[in-house]
Amino acid sequence: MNATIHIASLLVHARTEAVSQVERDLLAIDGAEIAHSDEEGRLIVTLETANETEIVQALTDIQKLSGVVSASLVYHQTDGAPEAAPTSLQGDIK
Amino acid sequence: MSGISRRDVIKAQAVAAAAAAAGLPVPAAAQNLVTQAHLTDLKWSKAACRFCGTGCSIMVATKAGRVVATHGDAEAEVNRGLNCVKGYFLSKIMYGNDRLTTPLLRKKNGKFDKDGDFEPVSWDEAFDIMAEKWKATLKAKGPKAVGMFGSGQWTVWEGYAASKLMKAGFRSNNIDPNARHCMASAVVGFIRAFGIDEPMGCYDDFENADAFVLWGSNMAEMHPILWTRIADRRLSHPHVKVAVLSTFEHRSFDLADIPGVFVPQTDMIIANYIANHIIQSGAVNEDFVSSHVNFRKGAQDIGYGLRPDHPLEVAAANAGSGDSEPMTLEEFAEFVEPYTLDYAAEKSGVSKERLQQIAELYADPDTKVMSLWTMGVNQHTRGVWMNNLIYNIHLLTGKIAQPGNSPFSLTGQPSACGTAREVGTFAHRLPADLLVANPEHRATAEKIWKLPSGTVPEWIGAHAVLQNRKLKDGEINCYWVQVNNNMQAAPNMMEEGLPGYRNPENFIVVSDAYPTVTAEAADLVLPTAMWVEKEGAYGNAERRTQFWHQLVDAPEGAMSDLWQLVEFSKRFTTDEVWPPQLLADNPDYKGKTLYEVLFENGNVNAFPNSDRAEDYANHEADDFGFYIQKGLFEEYAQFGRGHGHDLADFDTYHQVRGLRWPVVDGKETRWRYNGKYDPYVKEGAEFDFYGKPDGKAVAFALPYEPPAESPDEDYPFWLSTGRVLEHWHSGSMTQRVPELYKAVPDALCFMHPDDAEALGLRRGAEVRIKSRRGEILTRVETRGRNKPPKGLVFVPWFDARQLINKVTLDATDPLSKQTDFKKCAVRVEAV
Repeated sequence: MNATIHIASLLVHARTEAVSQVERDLLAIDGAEIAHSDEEGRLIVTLETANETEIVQALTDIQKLSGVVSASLVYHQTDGAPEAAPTSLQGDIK
Repeated sequence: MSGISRRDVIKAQAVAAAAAAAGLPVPAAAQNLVTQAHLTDLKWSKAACRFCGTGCSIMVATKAGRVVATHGDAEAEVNRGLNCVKGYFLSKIMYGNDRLTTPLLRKKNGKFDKDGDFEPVSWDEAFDIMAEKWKATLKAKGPKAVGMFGSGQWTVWEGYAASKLMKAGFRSNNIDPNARHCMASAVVGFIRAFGIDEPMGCYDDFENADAFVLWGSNMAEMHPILWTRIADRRLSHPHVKVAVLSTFEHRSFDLADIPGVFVPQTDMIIANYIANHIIQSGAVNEDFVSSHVNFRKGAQDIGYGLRPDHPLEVAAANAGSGDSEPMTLEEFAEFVEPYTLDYAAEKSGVSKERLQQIAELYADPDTKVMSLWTMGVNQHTRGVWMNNLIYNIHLLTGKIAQPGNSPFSLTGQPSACGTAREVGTFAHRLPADLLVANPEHRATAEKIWKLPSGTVPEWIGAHAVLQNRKLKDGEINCYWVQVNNNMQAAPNMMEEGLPGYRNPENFIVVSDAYPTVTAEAADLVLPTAMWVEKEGAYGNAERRTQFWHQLVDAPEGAMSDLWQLVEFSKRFTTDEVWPPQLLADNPDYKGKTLYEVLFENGNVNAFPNSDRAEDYANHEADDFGFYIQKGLFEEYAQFGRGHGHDLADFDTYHQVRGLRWPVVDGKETRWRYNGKYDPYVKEGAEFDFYGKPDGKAVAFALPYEPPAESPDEDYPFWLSTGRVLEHWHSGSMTQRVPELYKAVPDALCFMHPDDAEALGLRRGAEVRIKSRRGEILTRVETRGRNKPPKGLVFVPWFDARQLINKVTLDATDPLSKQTDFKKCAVRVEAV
């Protein structure tokens, strides 16, 4: 029950004429919720995912949405057990 | 509390942080929950980001000794709550599973052997062998045979302690930072034009400019948070224009109103054309120029910083010369006259229309222009000249040192300014722009350090590239590398770097948190604490000094660079390393350890541990018994206070989100040399370039000169190297963050689809990239984020398994000694 979850927030700038379309597209992304949206094209989006790779994937998807000018990560928190550490990287100096 | 989950609280905090970043009110639903923050039980503290020179402030949450959350710091002026993807995963850089936790020494049969394998040893054994090697070398060959290579990632006090240990302790100026690869051309450009290092403007220029011109910089990937500020300005103010000049198309072109892809090295022609256009169109700001600008003609044909017997150096009429002679504005105008629009368009490959549009941005007196550059300009065999050519444009038009009118040299490392440049960890420098070659400057250092006259040597030490050459030639035999991965970063690895480290005469020590390529090439590896595992200070590109506390403990066995430097100094007495005459003249210093004369000198140990913040650990202060970071900082600050480099007192920096120096009477300075903002400008003057004796800045007449190596029949492609958004420098930290690794696991060879087709290469095909010096295997990318023109390939250098610096050339700017990593000739072959 105590599986790790990742909660992140993003600040999205959208072209003003495209806000409602961007809202619809955002809500189609798994784990995404819109906490704020205004006529100047500013949206605050939260993501709840099982791992960070999904956050990066969602960020990439959002950046590619038509009408989105920029999407920046603001906040990130892990809750639950820590993840396994990354693998080792060997250099090639020969 | 029923119905409210921890998850809701976390989400509310996430929303509140984003709202703060956007300058929006916190949505009501979130507002109520944020007050329940105790539910998540986190301790939040500020820290400066560990990566680029932007200097974002990050809020770091710890719980049970581990960093569990980060977000952009909404109170920070630099990033206003935002974070780039690297900053977002910042906390994970400390938790790679191959963190080093014990010193490793190459051994055979139980003792040190250069050809042995790495074996774990104690810190005592590590320092024993190090001290033995240092003492033997100092005795046999003197201070010129020991050297140190540091970094713009050292904290301020680490760089200061290293510089002091080398220059005053071992009496060797053979210390240089990796900032030599990154900022040296900018430094020499500043000193030549203004007499003081670092930008006159600041990030507030972003919200004041009407036009932005990027000279060879890809800010969208390399300085993404600053790019966000430019994008905001551009999108919310329709009159604003963005011009992007580069040798290949990249992500910054998405926002460009005026894009321009130029032939490598012809940026010099474009800059001279713009100066010519300004003069020809009558746009010179005569009042400004006559009051504030001198003109000088620089020496020409100055070589390429290669070894002196290289044919290009032998052929150069004035190899290494930075000489110049005075000239008039009229003579300057004549000098740039050949750089016509037709000539510039023909040579650069940028259309006349676009060149003229860019020139007009500068020429129009009502358009405030910010010029921005980093490695494209600095990593250039004429990098100093390019810096000067950009200043020329701003000086001719008087568009300088005012909000929005700003030639702005961006920075690549978090403390290239704060540590490498301000502390003066270069081979020729002392703190606050002082020079080792100047007897008065040495006397100042000796007085502040409470050391005998004659302690600091007058000779200029070996710079980065020269250090590698001297290691190969057996002239430097004991060498200590801290906080950088120079085997991967330095040019011409196979001919210069690796042979030097593996030279049997040499003993190489590398301090790092991870087993980097450089560590693999060493004889002794010291495991190092990093970032918020120690108390630290960085200085960013806009002169902003920022502090953080130790927030977590380093893994057992890993020690900070500061601890290593100071602890090592205990192993030496003055009698062992100083000349007998110096001690005979100053008998009080006889028989003392270097630790005693350098760090127990009444300055560094002046502040007791009771001065520390109660709720933060401080491993070094505990170990040495006094607040060593404060003592080092306050001693260091003596160099600059009252001399245009004033820093605030130590404790202030723990409270604020950084301050931009000079900090005078508690107030930071946003625009230097401008009477409205800078207290150092003489009374009543509008502008005062007080770094120069007559208060005037210098414009330099400098011609186009060709690069050291250009494509030919055998090696038909230009090679440019650089970074990508997801990875920082050699990737030793970001490659260990799984998400960043997965996003961009391998370096690729970006090339034009037509070039690939002509070579019979499909996208993804394996290729060999070969120069006259070395080769690597990689894969072709024809549709990626970087779109080179025909005849040029781009390969990033973050990938330890594809070391592109086996291929690059160790040609440097002859004045700054900074390598040109952006231009050499290669061929691309199918494998």
